[in-house]
This record gives sequence, structure tokens and C-alpha cells, in this order.
Amino acid sequence: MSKLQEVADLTERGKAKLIGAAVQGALDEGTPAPEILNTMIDAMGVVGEKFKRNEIFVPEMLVAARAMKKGVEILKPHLAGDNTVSAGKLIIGTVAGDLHDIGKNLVAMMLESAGFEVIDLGVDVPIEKFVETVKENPDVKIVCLSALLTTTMPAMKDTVAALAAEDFRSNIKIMVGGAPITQEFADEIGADAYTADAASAAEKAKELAA
Amino acid sequence: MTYWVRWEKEQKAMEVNAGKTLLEVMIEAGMHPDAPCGGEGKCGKCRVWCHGQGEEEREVLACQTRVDRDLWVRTGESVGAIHVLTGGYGRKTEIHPLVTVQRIALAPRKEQPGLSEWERLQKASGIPLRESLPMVRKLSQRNTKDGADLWIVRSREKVLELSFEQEEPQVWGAAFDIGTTSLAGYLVDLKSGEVLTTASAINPQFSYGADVIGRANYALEESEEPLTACIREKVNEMLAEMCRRAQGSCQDVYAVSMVGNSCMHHLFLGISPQSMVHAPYQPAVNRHLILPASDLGIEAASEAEVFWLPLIAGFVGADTVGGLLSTELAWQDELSLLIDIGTNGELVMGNRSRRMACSTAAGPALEGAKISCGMRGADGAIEHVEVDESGGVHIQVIGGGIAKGICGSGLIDAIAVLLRIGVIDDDGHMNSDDQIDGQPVYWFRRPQGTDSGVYLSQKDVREVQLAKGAIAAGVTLLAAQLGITLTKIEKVYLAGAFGTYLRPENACRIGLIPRELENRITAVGNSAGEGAIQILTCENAIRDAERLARETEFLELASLPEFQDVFVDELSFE
Repeated sequence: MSKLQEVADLTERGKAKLIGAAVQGALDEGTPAPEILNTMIDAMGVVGEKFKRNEIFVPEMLVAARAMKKGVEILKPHLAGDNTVSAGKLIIGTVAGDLHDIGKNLVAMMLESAGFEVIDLGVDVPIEKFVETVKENPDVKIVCLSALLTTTMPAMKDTVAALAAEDFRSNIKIMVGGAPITQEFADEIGADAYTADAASAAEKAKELAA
Repeated sequence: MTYWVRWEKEQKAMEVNAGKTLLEVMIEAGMHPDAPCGGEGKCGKCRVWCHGQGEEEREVLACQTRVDRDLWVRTGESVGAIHVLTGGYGRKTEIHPLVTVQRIALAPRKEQPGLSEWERLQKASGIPLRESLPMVRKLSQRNTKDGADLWIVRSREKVLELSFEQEEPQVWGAAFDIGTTSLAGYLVDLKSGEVLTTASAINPQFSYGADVIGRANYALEESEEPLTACIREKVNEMLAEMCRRAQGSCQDVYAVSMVGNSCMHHLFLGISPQSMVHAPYQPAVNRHLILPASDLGIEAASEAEVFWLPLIAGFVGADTVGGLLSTELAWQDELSLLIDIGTNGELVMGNRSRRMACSTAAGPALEGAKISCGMRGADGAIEHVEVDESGGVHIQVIGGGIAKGICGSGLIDAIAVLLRIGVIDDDGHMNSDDQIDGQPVYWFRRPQGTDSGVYLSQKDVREVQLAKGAIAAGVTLLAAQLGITLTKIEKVYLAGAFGTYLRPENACRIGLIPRELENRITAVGNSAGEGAIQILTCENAIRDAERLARETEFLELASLPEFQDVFVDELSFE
């Protein structure tokens, strides 16, 4: 197995402890850093696909995402500047009153893998923070909102309403997700899109940003 | 169709309709069986020994055993003897009941010139009894000019009842554990500290939402009022039932102590859970509360009081404080860990001088929910799985019949065994030629004829990984915050019914509990309920509880930046 194949394999299998050496090995073999990055991105794409098809489940997604993160850490110093084409800029965050971020982090990871520049506002994000960030980043194409608790769904609704009240509304798309969220709820609060999992979110984002 | 059931110890025989459970028969016969789980086969407290004609005697759960032939049954200890004051497995405390009864003699008025009626009472009792209007009225209505003998029922300086009857009044207390799923009640004789009888029921709030978030959501969107009303009504029902069985009345109950998670606490008291279900997840009130029972609509003695144990945080409630009260953790220098596994797994780590608590989102997988063939610990559930030297896998089914599903303890055994024989690898990947819907599965009983068999799927293994990962991450992060290494933990208290059936070696093999602690695990049963009982039998316990709650630090796992990494680390079975 070539070093590059090994990187792909270790990403898919989520081997965070081994991936550093494999990435280093690929670099040592003279593989360009962007190529290694793309290999990992493709591997994450495979993981996302398998997840969508119910072949793998959340734990495997989590370990794969972490392995990719470890691999990227090794790779970063070798990625001279930003020579990958960005699919666009987007903002992501868990709505006010909610501290849960594992799902949101997965989505952010998949979005990054899909070539987006991701501004992650973290958890318990006040409505104003979303609004301000869009204003500070007029090139933002998509705002992604996450909620895990049924009780914080109203905060998601309020955030969408606040974004809708701004002049920039027509320039952005709003995507929502999280365990209690449904397509019906997304329609009701006026979000542009809902997806059930991280891989679909990345695909949907690409579609919306195109 | 009827059969004869013969109770050997009680020397009773009765004719019973076929299909009834032994527990139902015991209740109808007034035997006051102990079934805090409500006959769900979870708690194991209704264990009896029984046999049919010519059969060997075997140990069974009365609630899971249906009468389908003539049976001979031997019961265990009597209820009172099982539930001694000291909290079973827990901390031994002396009985200093919260409410006491005192016989006093009022001197004739003439001998006590210059004293008011209440002062005469104070003098006779030797205690600076506090005036209360109902009691002053009661005293004033009786002409005691020539002196009188009477009973006073009091909680320290507070007079709860005056009785001029000859007979010594009954003085009872009741303890309740208000769980999200089930309720457990204990009626306690405050003179002896003995548990007279117990009751259990399903939490009627179930119809407003299965979990705390669902119910909180109903309270916020609609109102907490119906949730409050239905739980109070059920508690009254349980209290009345227990009093009736103990051949007394609700009027004999002078103190009611309560534990439950923070959401159950708020909803019982009619407090909106609003602040608790939004970050930073803080309750509306966290200190212990002592309230007139009549204010809460609790039907007991007119001056009875309700004691709600304090809360630690929004997701670590009075039930955890009850657990701290009844186990040794907070009273010793040795480091210990208290684990209460439910939908949220609450953990407390530490010792007498410092403790930290957290709540982990373990989810209901370990209770058999979200698992393909998951079920409660009832008849037909695989409760244990073993592997022999030649690699043969053997199952043990509750009730001894055909396996219908798998319960929490069986699930943990199953995964440990499959890891041992290599069907599951350390990453949790299942290698099996058998598949259902493209997913690898392992059959514990293959389908035969119309019956669908019992299996564990790849997805089930993943669910367990998430649940055990959450708990194990909680343990790791508590230890890190306290700056201790896991090997320093001398004892692990495993609370709840789940803990009673769990095989420690397997819980450790799958990484639910750190492997270093395998030989240090003690199952402590319903430690929360035991804590509530202690409030009644030990007058200082409520102050201890308050101190324990205030001096137990709370760790919000979700706010720790390292949480996700540790959680992902703990997903593995390595």
C-alpha cells in the first residue's frame, strides 16, 4: 500500500494515533501536501457516504473526523498559503441556550472537507453574534444553525427570524440541523434547508453555494 | 383455570387464577411485597424461591413469575427487615428521628400562676416549643386547670400535634424517590426507624414526554400545572395506599422527604424548569426546602412538612444528593466514585474533603432502549452471556424460558463476550457472516418458525459505544479536574437496579467503568431512596444533605474544550 493510500485508509478507519506517521511518510516520499489533503478530504467523503447509507454510525464518523484533524495538523506547515479553491465562506454555531457541539463539529468538519471556509462561532451563540458575524463577513454564503435540545428550538426560530429581518437576508442561505429538528420545523421557521446528517449537510451546502 | 399457591413461611394456601404474577398474588394477600420498580423485573427486590410439584426449588422474581401450575413459595426476609433504617448497603447511622413523640404532664394551673397555657406546655416538655396558631388553639380548647397528661408530636421545637388520648399516637414519615420513569415510596415508623411498607408506580407525567427535556418542553410551551397536578395526585395515592396497608391513616404521617432529579423537583413543586433547560442550565432554586405539606396538596397530618433534598445543579439533582447521603463517599478520606446509570448518567468523584459531580448524556441504550432486541429486565430477557473454554456462547434468560430480547446487563455481557471471542474488534467493528439489512449481526438465538430470534447488530454495538463513551469520558474528566489518577479510587458505588445485575468484570472489559477499578465495585441499589429515608430517621440528615450539595463542585462537561477528544477516545474498546 502506498503511503497516500495508507493515509486514506487510516482516515476512513479513524486511526488518529497512526495517521501522523503516514502523513509524514507521504510527505517524505515527495507527495505534495495539497494532494495529501485532498486524499483525506476524499476519504472523509467516503465516510460521509457510508454514514448516509447506514453502513457506519456516529462513533465511526467521530473517530474518522478526529483522525483527519490529526492528519491536517501534521500537514498544515506544509500547505504553503491557501492554494485550494474555496467553495465559499460560511458561519456555523449552536444556538443560544444550547451547549452541545459534537454534531455541530462533525458538520463543520464535513463542510471544511467539502472546501468551505468555516467560521465556527461555537456553542450557546447569542442571536446578535450571528447577525454581527454576517455583517463583518459580507462574503458569507451560508449560516448553519444547530440545536440538540427540544427546548432550544425556539432559540433557533428566533435566530432565523433575526437574520431574516436584516437586509443581507437575500444574500445568505440558512441551514438548520440537530437531533430534534425536522424538515417541517425548518419550513415553519423559514430556514432554506434542513439535512439529517453531516454528509448531506456538506452536499446541500455545496448546492446552495453554487 | 385456578391453581394452588402455598406460602411456606406464612403457612397460607390460596387458590389463584392462572396467569397472575406471584407479585400480584402477594399484594392481594396483603403480604406487602417490596417492588420499588413497580413489578417491571428491574429491581430484584421481590425475589422469592419457588417450585412446582416434584421440581427443584429455584430463585425467581415474584413480579416475573406467572402462576401456571401449583406452586410452593418461600419468601425472603420480611419487608421491615430488608429495609433497615441504615440504608441497606449504605452508611450506618443511628436513629435520631426527625419527628418524636413525647408524653408530658401539665401541672395544675394553680401551681403555675403567671404562666400562659403555652408556657405551661413548654415547662412540662422542658423544651422552648414554638407557638403555632393551630396548636395554641387546640390547647386553648381543652380545660386543663387540674393538670393533664398528653402526647406531643414534635420536630425539634415545632409542635406538630397534641393528643389527649390515652393511646400513644403513631408517628410515621414517608420518603419518595421521584424518578423520571418510576416512583418509589417508603412508609417509615419514626419511632423504630423501620420501613413499614413500600409502594411503587409509573410516573404519570410520562404522557407529557418520556424524558426530562420532553416534559420541560411541555411545561414551557403549555404549562407546568398539569405535570405538577398529576405527580402530586399520584404521590397522594401511593401515600394513602401505604398507610392503608400499614393499618393507619395519612393523619399519622408527619414528615415527607423527597428526592428526584432537578427537573422532577421543579415540576413537583410547580416551578418552571425554564432556566434549567437553557445554558448555563441552572435550577430556579437549589437549597433544600421545608414546606407545609398542605401547601403542596399532600394529604398528611395537618402540620406535616415536606422536605425536598437540595440540588447540586440543573442536571445533578436531589437524587444524587440522596446517594451521597446514603453511601460512604462523602464521609471518608478514601477516594470513591458514585455512578448512577440512567438516561443521564450522574457521577460524583471525591471524598470527605472534596467532591465533584457531573452529568453525562449516556442516553437510554444501557437500559435496553435504542437496541434492536433491547428490552426491560423482564421475563424472556437475556440477562447474562458467558463464553466457555471452547468458545461456546451461553445465555441466561430471566424466567428460564425462551429468549425474547436482551436487557442492560445482558447487553454489556454480550459485548464483553463478543470482544473476547473476536466477533467484535477493539474499534467496535463486528465481523460476522450473518447480516440483516446489510448490517452484520450476531445471533444469540436464531429465528425458528414464527419467532424472530434475538441478535445484536453492528448499530447496537455503536449505540453502546456512545453510551459507555459518555460515562467513561465523565469519569476521566472528573479525575483530571480533581488531579487524581484512577488507581487512587478505592471504591466504586454503582447505584440503581442496573448496578445490581451488572457483572463488574464485563462492565470493565467494555470500558464502561475503568479497568483499574474492577475489584472495587459495590452495587448500592436505590441509594437515592435510601438517602430520602435517612432524612426521616436522622434529624441532622437534612443539614448534612445541604452541606453535601453545596460543597460538591459541579463540572459542566459540555463546556470543557477537551470533552470531545476524551469522548472520542473512550469510544474504543481498547
